[in-house]
Amino acid sequence: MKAAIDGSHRIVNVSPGTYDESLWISDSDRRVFPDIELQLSGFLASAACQDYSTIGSALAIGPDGSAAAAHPDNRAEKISEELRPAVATPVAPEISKFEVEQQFEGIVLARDDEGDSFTARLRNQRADSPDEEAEFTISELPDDRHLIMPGAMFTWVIGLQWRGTQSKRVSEVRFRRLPPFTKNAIAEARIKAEQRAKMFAFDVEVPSLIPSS
Amino acid sequence: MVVASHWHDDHVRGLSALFRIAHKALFVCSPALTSKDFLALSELYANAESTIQNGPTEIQACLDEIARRMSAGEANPIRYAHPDRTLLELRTTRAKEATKLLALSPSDEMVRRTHQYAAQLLTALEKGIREASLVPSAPNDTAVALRLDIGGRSILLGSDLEEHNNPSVGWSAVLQGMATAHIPAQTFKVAHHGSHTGHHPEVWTTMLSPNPLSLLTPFKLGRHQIPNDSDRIRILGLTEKAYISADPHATAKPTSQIPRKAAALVDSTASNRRLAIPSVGHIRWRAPLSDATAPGVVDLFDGAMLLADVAAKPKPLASVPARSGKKRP
Repeated sequence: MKAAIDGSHRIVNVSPGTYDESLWISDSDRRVFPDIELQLSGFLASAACQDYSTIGSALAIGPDGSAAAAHPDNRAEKISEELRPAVATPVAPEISKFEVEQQFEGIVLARDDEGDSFTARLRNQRADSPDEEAEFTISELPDDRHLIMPGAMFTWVIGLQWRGTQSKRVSEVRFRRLPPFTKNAIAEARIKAEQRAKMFAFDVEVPSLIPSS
Repeated sequence: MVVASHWHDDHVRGLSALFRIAHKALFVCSPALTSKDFLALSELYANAESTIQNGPTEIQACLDEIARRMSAGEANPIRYAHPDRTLLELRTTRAKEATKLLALSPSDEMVRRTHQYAAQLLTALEKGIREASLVPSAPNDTAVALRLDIGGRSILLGSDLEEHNNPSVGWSAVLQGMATAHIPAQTFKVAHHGSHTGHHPEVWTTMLSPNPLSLLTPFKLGRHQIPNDSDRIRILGLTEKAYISADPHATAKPTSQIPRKAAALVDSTASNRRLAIPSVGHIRWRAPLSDATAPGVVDLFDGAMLLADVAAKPKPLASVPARSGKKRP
């Protein structure tokens, strides 16, 4: 059994074990569709299982999500049909929790625009293991594309993201937006550099080393 | 004596630990690495918020150690490399000739370029333009090439010195300014991992004896890999005795323990995962000091191999070979 509710509150297919934000109904939707709220709330409040197949069973929706397959007790399809013009876009609940399962720090070594990829050095932040290198697809990171250049640093996190009682496993690559060095930091570095440059200004003449034997 | 051939990680990784242990050692580097601007850059980037080295961290750590020693009253251990400068001279009662370590680079122009690079980068930082890090793709203008004369032999250590057909820099500058008399070197640590960018044909005809023992280390940066096929063919056309410390094609699977549930997503997000440093092989050449004509013996360890064998049998995803100690005449 596969079930979820799309933007117009029809039941659509969702593979068991995956998460779909459209399953959720916002507060405004609840005002419009009190029956749906009632059903979902009742189910979610009582169900011991959060499996989508169980949700589907509770709503009595067929695997293809068709109205013909719907159980008479299911009100979702009928109500949404009646009130479609007033339907607001469902909004997913805020992320309530994130459980990190794996985390790497990365630094871009080279970018290959023709191949739509970049190569990065990775350091495991969850275990003491030798550094790795790997290739990533640039087009899969649309927001951060302009930041991908040699030397750019990023964090790569894999974990369970929770919205309410629903979770999904996600992989997220976040490039660090490094602020410019502050004037103070540069000034301090310059002062220290000047002191050191004076210290190191004259190197040593090395006499011939003549061992005694 | 500890020599920082230049500041790129693949040449100086672990250098600061070595230098701290060698507490009486002199420290050799390009004079450009202690210019005010480079020191300021080094200070800024070495302290940047990353656990992965992204700048001259090792050099900075060495300079920290030098400053510590000097603050404790010790003499300045720095020795700057200039063309034709003797860095070390060691006379023993047994040997006829002194053992001598001679710097061949960086040239004045290379030092000036490094000053300019550091000044421009620092000016950009002051204007709020931040390069993500000081990356190894920066020019090899700080490369310190060396010649070691010992027991009637000469050994040429090429560092990452490049050749750009400019008489003021790189190997052209070395060849132009070579005032010190020398015997052709029988052994060559091939410059810049055997890349064509480090190749000057006259080095092979005037600074090296025919068919020299030639030693290489491979390098990879993303998909860029040296020596490549044409590099290998070129080098093997110049010498039959070429060895490489690891197969440049070899990769090793990562050893990270990834939680089983996360592993599928790791594999679908990143491809071609491999160990960053798959194998650090070891080529050992031993020859008697008493006989400058004796060829000596080459031993290969931990994946080091004949360069001729690389093309013959590339080894994708090979595991790191066991220490073999295979002898080569």
